[in-house]
Amino acid sequence: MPFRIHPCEGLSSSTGRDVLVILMLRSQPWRTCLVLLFTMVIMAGQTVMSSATAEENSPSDDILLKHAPVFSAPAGEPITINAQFDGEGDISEVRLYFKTMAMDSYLYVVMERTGKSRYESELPPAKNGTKGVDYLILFTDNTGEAIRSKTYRILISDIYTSPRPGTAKLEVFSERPLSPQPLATFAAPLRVVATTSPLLASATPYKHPPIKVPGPAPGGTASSRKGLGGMSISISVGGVGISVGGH
Amino acid sequence: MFITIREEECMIGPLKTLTVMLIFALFTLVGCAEYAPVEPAANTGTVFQRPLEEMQTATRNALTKLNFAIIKENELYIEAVHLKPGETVEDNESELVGVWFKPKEGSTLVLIDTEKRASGVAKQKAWEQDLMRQIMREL
Repeated sequence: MPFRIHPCEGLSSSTGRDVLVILMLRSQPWRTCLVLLFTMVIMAGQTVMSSATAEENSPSDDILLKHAPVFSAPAGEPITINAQFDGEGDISEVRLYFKTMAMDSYLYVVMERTGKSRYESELPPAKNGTKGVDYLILFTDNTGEAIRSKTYRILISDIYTSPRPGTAKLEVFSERPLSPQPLATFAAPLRVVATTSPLLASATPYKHPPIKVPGPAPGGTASSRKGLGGMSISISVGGVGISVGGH
Repeated sequence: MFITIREEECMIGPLKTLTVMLIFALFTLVGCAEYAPVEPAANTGTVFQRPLEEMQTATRNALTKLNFAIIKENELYIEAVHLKPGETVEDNESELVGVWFKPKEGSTLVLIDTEKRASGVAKQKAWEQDLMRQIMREL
């Protein structure tokens, strides 16, 4: 049965769909291939752009740190932190330093090796009201040099019921004396052990890749507020883009 | 009067093919439309007589207390997304805030801009004033 279109229809979405079906069914496959190829190119570009920000790595000298940051977590649950190291250097030890916003100094746990150059550890669960937990990754190479990542902030979202406290005490290490009060912000009891090998203060900052910082609106300094209720949309593919919205 | 598929040989020409391709492209690109804060003019910010490091700490804490998850950060810029209850950074319909720091001889100019998503506008707001007030409280 032939596919039918009413000639009085304008270029509505249903008409567009009908036109597309007609193109697909026609005996000229080159048009269909052209449309599909065009779509695949755009979607491939979209996939490349979105996957580029999944992990963080940096052209460091010998060791590349790959870490997908944790941005937010619910209270009452342990938070898993992963890190992967690539490159020619060898890793001797990896530590996960952490503290809540109420604490002055860091605690740390030693990250466990879960695979070839992959390390993993868990942050203890935070209580409701903690608001934020800072963490960083410190690793030492075979020469004993300690390198620390930048500090990441995890937003802790409160849950409606109080988090269930853990039964077993989690052993954590401290490089400085701690008062017990800040430890109460964790939902699990902690056993703090004073470390004999402090590294944080003398660690070298890791060279993270530069981030893209948004600049001013194109066309110079615009003091006027944006239109569209504060929204602006820019679409770019392969460096070619269009912007919509008043700036 | 209806036109059958066999009779419309003349209707589907190159122009309509291009139209279909453009529709495809627009639908595809809308999904990856980038929204990001835009650095506002310098005269819209606030100068604090505080060093850069202090302003960074105060801003970070202010964002956290206002329920922002910091997703991008360097010495002179912080970008954060405001999370509503139940939302995550990977799955949200919330506004982005960008904070720029311009240090100068012991003082720091702080610029803030809110970028709202096209969807869920009713639940979003501009955070310039609230965030600036919270930063002042943190100092």
